[in-house]
Amino acid sequence: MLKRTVFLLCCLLFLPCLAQAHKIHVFAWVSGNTVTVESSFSGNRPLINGTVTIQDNKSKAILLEGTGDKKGIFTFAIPALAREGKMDLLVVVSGSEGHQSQWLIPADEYLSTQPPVNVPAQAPATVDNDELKEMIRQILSQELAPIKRSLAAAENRKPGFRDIIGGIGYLLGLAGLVAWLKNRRPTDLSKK
Amino acid sequence: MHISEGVLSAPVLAGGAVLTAVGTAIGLKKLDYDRIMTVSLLSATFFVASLIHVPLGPGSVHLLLGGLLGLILGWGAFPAIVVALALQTLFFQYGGIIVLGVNGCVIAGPAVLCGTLLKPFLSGTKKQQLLTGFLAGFCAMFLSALLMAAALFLSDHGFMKVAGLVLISHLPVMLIEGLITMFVVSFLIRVQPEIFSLN
Repeated sequence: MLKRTVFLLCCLLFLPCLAQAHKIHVFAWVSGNTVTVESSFSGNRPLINGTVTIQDNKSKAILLEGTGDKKGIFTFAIPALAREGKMDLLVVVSGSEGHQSQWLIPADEYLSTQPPVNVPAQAPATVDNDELKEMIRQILSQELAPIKRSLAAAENRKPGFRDIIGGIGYLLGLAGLVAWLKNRRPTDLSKK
Repeated sequence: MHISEGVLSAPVLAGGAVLTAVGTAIGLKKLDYDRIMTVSLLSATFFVASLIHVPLGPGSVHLLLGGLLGLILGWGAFPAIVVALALQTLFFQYGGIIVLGVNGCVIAGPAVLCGTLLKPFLSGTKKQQLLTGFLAGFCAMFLSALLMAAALFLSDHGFMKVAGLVLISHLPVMLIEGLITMFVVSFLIRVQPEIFSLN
């Protein structure tokens, strides 16, 4: 009888394995003067209409707010205020049911790219070193954006089979530990 | 069902932590240590059931099987659920250490309540047993959703809107949870009635 119960409970454990995490994942990347924020549940299901709040990481003052679109994407131009204050931007995304996640954009990440306003109106015939560096930086940041994104995605992987089995192992191990400790007690008492 | 870190206000977090500590203490005190393996297997069942997320509407939902744990373990469901939640927090960053108290209350409270209240009806006729199983699953999920909405409300998030959303999005899950609990309970009563420790 006990065997059958254990078997049933084990079957229950492995019911369906269409794991879809209940946690919001946020990645934000800078290209030029705009920041793209992508939010999703793991398994790449976009978070629709999530509320995106951009804060100064130090003072937690809200710089701007918005709503993600159907693909979970929200783009914004870096506020001049943030640039002046060299603020680290904290991107906070919240869903409706108490789920919330955040992503930090350090000031260095966007300060290295100049806002487009600073580009001189007349293109000089010769490109000096600084401008060349700036151009390369911009192109690089554009080209690297998808790589940054997939790196972030790889970091946020959903719980796999190994994690689940590991968790079950922990729980059974804990039970074993408790059972062992409980069984030791009576013998200890009888010695005293 | 896992509320994230940074959403709730401090009084709600503290309240949840206290309630969960008390519930876990009572659960551990009442735990029959001969049944420790049942507790851990059910804890594992909860651990896995609440990892499996089904996309639904704008969000995604998952089973809890709180009613089942409550029926079988009574107060023991409290530590079983809290331990599984703690592991989920450590492994997958679902919820968080600080909100563990609130999440524990939201899920384990209704599980214990429904389990303890409905358990006497398991000794009844076959029909009563089926209904009890269904109600345990359904009501535990319903109350959990309500508690979650209350926790969000107390932290200033517009109760009616959140409550409506949480309840509507969980309605299908309540039904599924009710049905699964019903089948598991009726199967267990057939093959292993001792697990419910009925007289």
